[in-house]
Amino acid sequence: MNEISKPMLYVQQRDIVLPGDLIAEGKLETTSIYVYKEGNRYYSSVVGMVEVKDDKIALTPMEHAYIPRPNDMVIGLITDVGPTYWEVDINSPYEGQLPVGETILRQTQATVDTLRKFLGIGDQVLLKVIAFDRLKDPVLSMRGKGLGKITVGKVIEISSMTASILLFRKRSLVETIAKETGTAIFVGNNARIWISGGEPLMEDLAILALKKIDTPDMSSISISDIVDYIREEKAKRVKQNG
Amino acid sequence: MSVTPSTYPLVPKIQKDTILSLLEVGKRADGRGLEDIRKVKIIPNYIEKSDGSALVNIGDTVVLVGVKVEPGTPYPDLPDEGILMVNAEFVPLASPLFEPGPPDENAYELARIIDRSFRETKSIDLKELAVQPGQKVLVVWNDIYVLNHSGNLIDASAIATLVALARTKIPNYEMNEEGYLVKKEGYKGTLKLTKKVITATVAKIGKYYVADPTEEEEYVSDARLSVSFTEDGTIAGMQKMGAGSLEEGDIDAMVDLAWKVSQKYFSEISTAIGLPPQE
Amino acid sequence: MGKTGLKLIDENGIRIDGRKPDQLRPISMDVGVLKNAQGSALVSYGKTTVLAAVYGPREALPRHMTLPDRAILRVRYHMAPFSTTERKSPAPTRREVELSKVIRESLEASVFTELYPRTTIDIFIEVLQADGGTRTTSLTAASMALADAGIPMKDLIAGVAVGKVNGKLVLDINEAEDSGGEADMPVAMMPNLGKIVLLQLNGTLTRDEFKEAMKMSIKAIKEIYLIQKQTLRDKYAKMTEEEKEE
Repeated sequence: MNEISKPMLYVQQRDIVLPGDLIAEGKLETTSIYVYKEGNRYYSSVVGMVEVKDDKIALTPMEHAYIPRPNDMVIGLITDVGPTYWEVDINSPYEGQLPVGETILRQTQATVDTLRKFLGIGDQVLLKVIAFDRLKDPVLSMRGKGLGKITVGKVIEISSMTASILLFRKRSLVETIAKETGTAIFVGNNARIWISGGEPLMEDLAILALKKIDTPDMSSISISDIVDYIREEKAKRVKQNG
Repeated sequence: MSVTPSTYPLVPKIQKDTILSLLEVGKRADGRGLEDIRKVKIIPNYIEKSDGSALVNIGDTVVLVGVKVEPGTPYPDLPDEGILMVNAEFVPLASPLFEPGPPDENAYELARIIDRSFRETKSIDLKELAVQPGQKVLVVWNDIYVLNHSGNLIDASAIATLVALARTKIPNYEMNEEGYLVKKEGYKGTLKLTKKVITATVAKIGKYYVADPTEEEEYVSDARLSVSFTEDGTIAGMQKMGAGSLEEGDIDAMVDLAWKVSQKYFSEISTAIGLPPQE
Repeated sequence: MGKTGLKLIDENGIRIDGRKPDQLRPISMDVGVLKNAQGSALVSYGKTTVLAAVYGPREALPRHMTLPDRAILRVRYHMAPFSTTERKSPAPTRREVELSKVIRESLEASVFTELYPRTTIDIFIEVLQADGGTRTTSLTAASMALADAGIPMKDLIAGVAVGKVNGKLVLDINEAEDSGGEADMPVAMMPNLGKIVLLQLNGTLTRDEFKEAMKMSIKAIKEIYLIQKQTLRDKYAKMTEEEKEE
């Protein structure tokens, strides 16, 4: 690589950038849809955090609408039942579609009645995104390990920013809450969380802990803070019930 | 609520490319140069029953303005002045895009641009219209009727408004015993126009500035700038339109061009106002 | 003397609220002030206070109103009934219809609508208190609410109104200067890119005055832009500070 093709970077690792901020000049490699180009200058289009690696730039937006990508795991809500598919709200500007062929039902069995019996309006489901190009609604699948109707536990929604941090940077926080409350916690790519497997009281406590960290300055909350919080609350509850 | 239009006609890409490549050699689809305006035709006093009127064609664009002078109550903060009311209707017969119903945002915007240019320059002597200051004044209703939309409705409306107001006669209102203003035979005089004001619109397409844009040019333009002027070159109003942006240099160039165009309009208008009323 | 015969600027060039001709009013900004909206901002220029909220991108209904290749923007500029000296009817006025349009067009110049085809992005603006410059304050607030909502855009938009009172150009006019002055020129731009997205003039200016007014507004817009950026940075900075330490 010669000197001329190297981009001139105006940002450092983990800098916060804002819309209109100049990120680099020259030839830059980026796959982020949140970086845009004018002439040979690259700008940020969102409030986000940059990550620089070998002159490559990644930009994670702080807040963003959930845009489905293939292989994303999402928690959906059935909103309508069609003749051969279900309409699924996936916390996105785009309504998902679950075709009957992507479930264990056979295509030949498909009638509105059998579909309704299998999944009705208001049911929550754990699904995988298998295709999306923004022109047609995202296609979802229920075929795969762990996928299916959610019959136990509770589902909550958190901010997109908290979700990306829990998913990609601070998985340990989720693991800690799960361990301390004896629950199973699944964070969907679409900023919905499924809490299950524990006593109802402990599930509620896990939800409280998750809501506590769902703030813009969540990083000020450390793992030991959250452990202390859960243990304190647990003690209160035991007292009340005891 | 203002919504991104979803009903605008789709200009084929190839058409846009053609417009741009023509502009590069200083030409436009209808054969004009970038700074040329289409043929302007003005017919003053087109509607006999109105107190003042004008029919204006700019190319295929047709706008009719009718003025009615009627009694009314003054604004509390301006008790000794008459009132100028500018209203615009984009009637459905003028374009496949226009729907019946209350005026849309484009009609309101057009009316307000014209209204501001006359109001801010005090072109009309409104004091003269106070029949009984604080109680009864005359209201000049200036209704803009778009009859065919082929682009540049603002300039056509500005020309038609100026000509109609310049030729407006004030009906003879007399106070009766009950204190009402009653219209009598004949006219008391003509509306006093102290200043002439006109509005000229320039569109930016790619890096080019074009005068008197057609409808198609409006759709492919990045932005338009309407600039109002009085005859001495004072800027008397301005409005950027369209979902694009302009740089400071663009604005200077567009104001320059708008002034050149305004002078052409003024000269067309002087000729028209000088004509005897149509019998 | 102004239109109403009021003296709006004294011999020493001091305005009725004590400002110099090229001085902004105190500006305050806050983002993320509303829980339900995807993004929100509260912005004050002096007594003018505007709240803006963004919902979306979301599914547009009815579907025929959507565009196949980009999101549509729906913008409502609205003045609260108590925002003005005399109560304003909540029904939309011609003025509000026009301002909603010019604000929408300005925002459209900045938003990457092509990233969200077939959706709508709703921007609701409520003028809580009006003391001049409400449309430019609205644009400043709406742009920050969009940034807070994570809607991709070319740059933030900041705006300010320049006026002319007693023959002198003055920056960031208040209501008395607007109604008693000779001109009100609202300008808004994407400062980092040098692109003007809103330009209106109500009133009269000579060519030279107009050029001077443009310069004044651009300079002030850059100051407002810095406050916008600082406000947004402050909201998110804490987070990365701590992350960096890890």
